[in-house]
Amino acid sequence: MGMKDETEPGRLLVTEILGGNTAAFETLIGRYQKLVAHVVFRMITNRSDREDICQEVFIKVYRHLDRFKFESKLSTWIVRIAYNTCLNHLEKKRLPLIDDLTDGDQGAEMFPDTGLTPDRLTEQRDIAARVRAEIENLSAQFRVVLTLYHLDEMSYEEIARITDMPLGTVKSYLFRGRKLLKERLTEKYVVEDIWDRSM
Amino acid sequence: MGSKHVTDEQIQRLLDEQEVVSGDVAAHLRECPACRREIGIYQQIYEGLGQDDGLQLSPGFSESVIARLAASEQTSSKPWPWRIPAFVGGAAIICAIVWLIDLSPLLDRLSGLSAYLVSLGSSVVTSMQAVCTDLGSTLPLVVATGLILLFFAVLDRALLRSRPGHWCL
Repeated sequence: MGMKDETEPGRLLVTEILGGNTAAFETLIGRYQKLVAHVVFRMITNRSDREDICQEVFIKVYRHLDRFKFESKLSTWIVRIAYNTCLNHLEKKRLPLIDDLTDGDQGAEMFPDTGLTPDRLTEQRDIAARVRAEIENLSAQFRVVLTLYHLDEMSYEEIARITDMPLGTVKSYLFRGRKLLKERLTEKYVVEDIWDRSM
Repeated sequence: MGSKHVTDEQIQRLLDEQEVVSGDVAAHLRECPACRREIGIYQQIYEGLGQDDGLQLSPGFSESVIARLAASEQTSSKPWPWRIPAFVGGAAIICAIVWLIDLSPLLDRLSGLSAYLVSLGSSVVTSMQAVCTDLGSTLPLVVATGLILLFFAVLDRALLRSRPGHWCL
């Protein structure tokens, strides 16, 4: 999902919602639910909590919309709320936000399996599925930065604003995250099995 | 670059379109299957990262948000006109109970307790006066120190409260 232009239509939508227009709020949900889901689904591994947290995010958006002063894009503001809500949830559940900042020196066997065994994946012959399965094994901070950059096409600056990280840290997370993925994937699967087909 | 292998950083910069493939790199890639394989791996990773399979919400999501919001609004904001009669009614019930029940034994006990508390307070004041007399000229210094400590305690509390946490928006 690309970034939306929050100029006049965005202002109009916010004004409508603040005026009590429920339909306008539904429009806002429809416009940003995908973006919120990307962040929440990537940060929260427990499937049963995900949708509930997404709902919580939009309730917070509704309740605090009067504080939004158009100093950033509405999408950035909403994603920031989603990110902070996930952080709170992880803290409450005492789940690690960053469990691995080393340069991939830990083997793939140290990480929980996502249910997709290498054999099953080989049968499926789906490289992207293997990549996505391996993303789940990264820590939440890596997952969210990679998702915002690759899936939501956000800039380094926007990601820095959302996560409160310095620009250099965002770039470092992106580089390390992708390198970790490469190392774990090549470690886990036979090279000829996947990669040679893509050449 | 010649015969040197391409690094992870270079590959990522190339795929992020932050760097263009130079003649040296292109020449190396033509003769190095290992580097070509590395680029292929990264290309697949980029492709996988750009797909959002399994990251979708249920179809009735927006309706459930609106319903949850409406339910919470209903419970959190009961109008004042309903609260005032509830308060008045509660107060009337309490007055009726007080009027109906003979509370004189309880009041006697309470008056005894209050007399004891008054005597305790006066003895504390007397003790404090004795201490003050003993301290003599150092009393203003003690009071000033106490006030300074109190000021810093209040300041510290205020600073702690104003520290932003990520729970706020």
